Parts: sequence; C-alpha cells; structure tokens
Amino acid sequence: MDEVYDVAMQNVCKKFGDTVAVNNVSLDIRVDEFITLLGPSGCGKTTLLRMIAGFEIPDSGKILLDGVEVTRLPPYRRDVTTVFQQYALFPHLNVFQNVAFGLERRGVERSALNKRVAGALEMVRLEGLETRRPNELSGGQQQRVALARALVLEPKVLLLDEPLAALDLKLRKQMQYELKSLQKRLGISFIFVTHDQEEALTMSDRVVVMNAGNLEQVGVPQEIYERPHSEFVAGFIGDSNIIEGTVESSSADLSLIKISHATIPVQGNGVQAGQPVRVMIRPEKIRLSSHDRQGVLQGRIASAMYLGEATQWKVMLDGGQLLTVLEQNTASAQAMKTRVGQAVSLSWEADSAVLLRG
Amino acid sequence: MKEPQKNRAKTANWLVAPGLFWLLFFIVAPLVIVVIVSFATRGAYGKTLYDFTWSNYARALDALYLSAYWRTIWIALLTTTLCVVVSFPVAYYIALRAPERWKRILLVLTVIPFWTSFLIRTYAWMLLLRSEGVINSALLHSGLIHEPLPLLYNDFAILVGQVYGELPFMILPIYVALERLNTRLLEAAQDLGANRFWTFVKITLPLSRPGLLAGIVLVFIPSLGAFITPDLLGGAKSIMIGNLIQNQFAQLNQPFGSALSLLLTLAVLLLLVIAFRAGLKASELA
Ligand SMILES: Nc1ncnc2c1ncn2[C@@H]1O[C@H](COP(=O)(O)OP(=O)(O)OP(=O)(O)O)[C@@H](O)[C@H]1O
Ligand SMILES: [Mg+2]
Repeated sequence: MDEVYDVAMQNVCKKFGDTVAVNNVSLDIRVDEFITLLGPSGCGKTTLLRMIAGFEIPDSGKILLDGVEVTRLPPYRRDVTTVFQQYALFPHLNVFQNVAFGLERRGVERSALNKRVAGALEMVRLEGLETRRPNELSGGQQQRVALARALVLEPKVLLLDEPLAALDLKLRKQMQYELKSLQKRLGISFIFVTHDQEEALTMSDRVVVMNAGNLEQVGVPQEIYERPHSEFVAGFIGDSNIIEGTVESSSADLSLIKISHATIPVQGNGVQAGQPVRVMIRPEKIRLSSHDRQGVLQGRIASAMYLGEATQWKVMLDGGQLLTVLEQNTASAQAMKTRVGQAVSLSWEADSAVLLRG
Repeated sequence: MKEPQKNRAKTANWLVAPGLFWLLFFIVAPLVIVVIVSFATRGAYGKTLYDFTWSNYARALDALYLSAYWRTIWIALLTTTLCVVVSFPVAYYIALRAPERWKRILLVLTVIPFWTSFLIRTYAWMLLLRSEGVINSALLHSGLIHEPLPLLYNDFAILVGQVYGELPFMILPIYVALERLNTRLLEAAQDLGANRFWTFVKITLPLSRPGLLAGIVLVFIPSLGAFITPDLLGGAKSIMIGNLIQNQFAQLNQPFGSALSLLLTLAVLLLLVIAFRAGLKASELA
C-alpha cells in the first residue's frame, strides 16, 4: 500500500495570465511534519499555500489531503486551516467569538465549544482577553488569536503564511519556539512560509526551497545547507564560495576538480572527466594556516572584517579568485590587522566541498 | 513660540466666519421664521396674523390627516426596503465581483441620472407608465394583455418613481462599505468552514452595516418629505405629507404649513438620533 501523506501535490501548475506562479510542483508532506517553504519574493509560496487551502484552483495537477483528492473542493470543505499574514481577524467580533467562529459553523454544542475555545486560548496564553476586539490587541496578541482560531478546529494541516513577519525580533524568536513546541505537542502538520533562512533552518523538519515557481530542493535543514544541489540554493541560504573548474578524475565518492592553478578534492560523483563544474564551499568550512605546502590552495589575505564572534577574511588565491573565509575569534583579535597581506594556505575536509549541478 | 499659534487660531476663526454667517442666514433664520409662523393664524386673503396659538398643531393631529401620515410612512418604508433589496446586490457586484476596469464605469452609470433634473425624470416616468405609454403599448402589441395595465396615478407609480430616484443614495454608501471590506476576511471565514451563505451573514453583512445604515437614512428621510412623485405619479387619493405641506403654502395657509413642516422636521431629527444610537457614523453620510 502507498504511504498516506497529510498533503500530496502531484504536478501542480498555476498561471496568472502570463505569469507562471507555480510550475509543475510535486511534493508530499508527511504526517506531523513541520515543513517550510523558503524562496525569494514572488516565487509562488503563497500561491502554493492558497491552492492547498482551496482559495485558488490549480490549472493542472492534483492535490490530495490525507489521501483524498480535494483539488477542486471549496475551502470550507477541507480539513485545513490558515494563519494569514496580516492575521485577518474579524474586526467586529471579540477574541472569544473569533476563536469560536469555526466551531460554531461545525455545529459544536455550546458547552463543548466553550471548553475548546478556553483550551485554545490557554494554549496561546491569552486567557482573560476573551472580550477584547482585535483592534485592542498588540501585534503579538493578534498573532496568537489567529493561531488559536486556526488550531481550535484541530485541522490535519495548518498553513502559515509568514506569520511572524510583522513581529519584532525578540517576539519573533519566542513565537518560533512556541510554534515549534505546539506543533510537536499537537501532532499537526505545519506548512510554514518564510523569507527568513535562519527561521527555516531552525524550525523545520524539512525545507522546501522554491525559485520562480519551481521546487529547487527539498530536504532536511542540514542537507539544504551542507549539500545544496544548485548555485541558487547555495546562494539563497547562507554565504558561499563558488569555484569553477573541470573534472580531472572521478571515482566512487571522490572527484578531483582542476581549477586554474591547483586541483581540489570534492566529495561526490556522477561527473565525467573533462566536464566543467562548479564547486561550492561554505566560508566557515575553510581553515587558514600559515603559508606552507600542506593546504589545498594558497593565497594571500586581502582584507578582514571583524564581526564580533567571528572574523570574515577575504583571501586572494594565487589563481586570482577571491574567497571568503569565516573564522571564529577564539584568540584575541589583536593580531587581526597584522595578518592582512600575509600569505596563507587554505584547507578543508573533502566532504565540505560540494559539486553543484547544472 | 505660543503667540504666532494663537494668532493663527484667530485667523482661522475669521476664516470660518462667512460659512457661519451662511449657516445662520440660510438655515437658522428660516427655521426661526417657520417656528414663529407656525404659532400664527391665517387671516383674510391669506394674511398671516401673529397671535400666539397652538391651534395649528392641534389641527395637525386631526384624523383627517392621519391617513396621509400613515401613507407617507408606509411608502417611505417600502421605498427604503425595495432600495435595500435592489441596491445590495448591485453594490456587491460593483465592489467585489466586477472586473477592475468596469468598476468606474458602473459607478458613473449609477449617478448619471443626477445629470437631469428630478422633475424631468419624473415626467419621463409618466411617459413610460401611462395607459398609452411605452410599457402598455409594448405589452398590448405583444398580445400579452388586452387592456392597458393601471400603472400610473396610484401608489405603485409613486413607489416606482421613489425607488428609482433614491436608488443611487443607497447603492453608493453600501458600495463604499463593501469596497473597504478586506476580502481576506471572507477567505478566513471560508477557511474556518463557513460556506458562502454563512460568510455573507456573519462577515459581509455585519461589516457593511455602517453603509447600509447610511443608505437607509439617506433614502428614508427624503422619502418622508417627497412631494414631486406623489404629485405627478400618484392618484387623487395618494397624498403624502409633502403634498399636504405644499398645498398649505399654495393655499396661503402658511401657519398650518409651517406647523406641519416643523413636525416633520422633529420626526426626522428623532429618527436621526435613533440611527446614530444604532451606530451610524456622520462620516458615512458624506
Ligand atoms: N491573483 C493574482 N493575480 C495575478 N498574479 C498573481 C496573483 N497572485 C500571485 N500572482 C503572481 O504570481 C507570482 C507568485 O506570487 P506569490 O504571491 O505566490 O509569491 P510569494 O512567493 O508568496 O511572494 P512573497 O514572498 O512576496 O509573498 C508572482 O509573480 C505574483 O505576481
Ligand atoms: Mg507570499
């Protein structure tokens, strides 16, 4: 038997006029998964969510919830709720009535309804604010009402479209933590949209990186960060150095890549000798040592930037390329200035360098 | 630092002076005159005699006139109800359904009738509704009827004329309220399990209440004072308060006409107070 997913999307496409908002997306969301959609503005994240919620109908492809096709079902007949970006609380209803709205439509009887609303408000720590109107609440409180209103229905899947974007940094961190622990406790799948790469990496079971309507890469946070498939993913999440070269040789799990004046080892295969490739390496994976013949590459420190906990070095390779290196400030920063201009050698673990596709 | 501000405030005071004068001269002064005249009596040849008497007010309560009051209220109520029923879907369509580039055209179309005088438009309705009028001729020709329908000179004709004339005053405020409605809220309601009907009842309707209330006030109150439509389209018996007042002034019974006007004004004020209590905002009427 096929595994049943909370959400399954099969070859979903959506166009608005000439704009392809979502292009042939297939994605399965496992039961109780916290999945994050990450990507630049206009890449189709909201459109994807709106199709799952039922506000947009795909031009082609299928959407299944809990194994049942819902592609054309209206929103009020799907077991999915949404936390909207601007919360969309009903201004004429108080907090209690906002949270009770969905339960009333489901015909939950009064005493059970009261209990469930109270439970939901307690969960988001809003007890005592039942009779306030949305415009009498702070941004963070409104955000919690929106969350309670959506969660009180115990949906299979909760959709969150940049729910934290309007909050200040401190509140944001706190809500990140609360959202994550709520999701674990309730056992509901969360599909979470964000622009914030750090948020995506810290909160998610899996991250979906989107670009221009396409899924660029889907994977656990470590995979997305450590083993990006494309230059786009590497560049979108964190800092990266991209080195161009050609394959010298390739064996089971190690390839040797020839760059302008040296040869570097890279984990990974599936390439043939002579093929032009690009190699990605994160700045913090590179070790600097004094100039000797031990390192993989040789260069000269061009500049230094003090970042507090770390120092960012720009190193000019002997071959003429500029690499970024991030080094924790374990020693005192006194020596920093004197190092600029020095010759250094660079090295890294073979599995830190990643072969990029395409 | 303080002085210039004070001076500016003084200048501002002077700037409102003409407006204030206008208000005093054209609204308060006539009102005062009407109040004074309403306590006078009518002398020979329509001369007004300024002796203080309540008799005009006593006469206003005469059973003779009660039927006109009831008819007025009834027709105003019907006009308002019909306007709401017709306007809501129209406003809803323009605000929430019509393609963006059509909106402005549709809005202009709703106010185009204002470019012609109401009197002339009412005459046009007479041409349409007469026994030999456009509608009856068409129906007779098509063979659907064999006798002309009595469309003119009755309460039906008054209603048609009134609803037609007041419709824009209902459509526009409802449109404004719906246009301001955040459509995300409608999606949120559906997301929480409300179908289209419940979304309308629980979200759209309550959030358009200010516009609805404004429309009701803007239609009901002028309908109470209507006199052109009942005069031209109504029958001999279809008299409304507006005609009653008009007749008194035409017959040179200014004191009684003034008393009736004042009573109508008081009734309208009372209604406005009720409407404001119900949550009407002055800004909605603008
Ligand atoms: N209703 C619509 N009509 C026309 N074009 C639309 C509509 N909704 C979205 N689009 C277009 O589809 C593309 C994807 O939009 P979408 O809102 O899904 O992006 P997004 O990834 O959520 O962006 P952001 O991060 O800025 O919210 C954009 O080019 C957008 O202009
Ligand atoms: Mg978006």
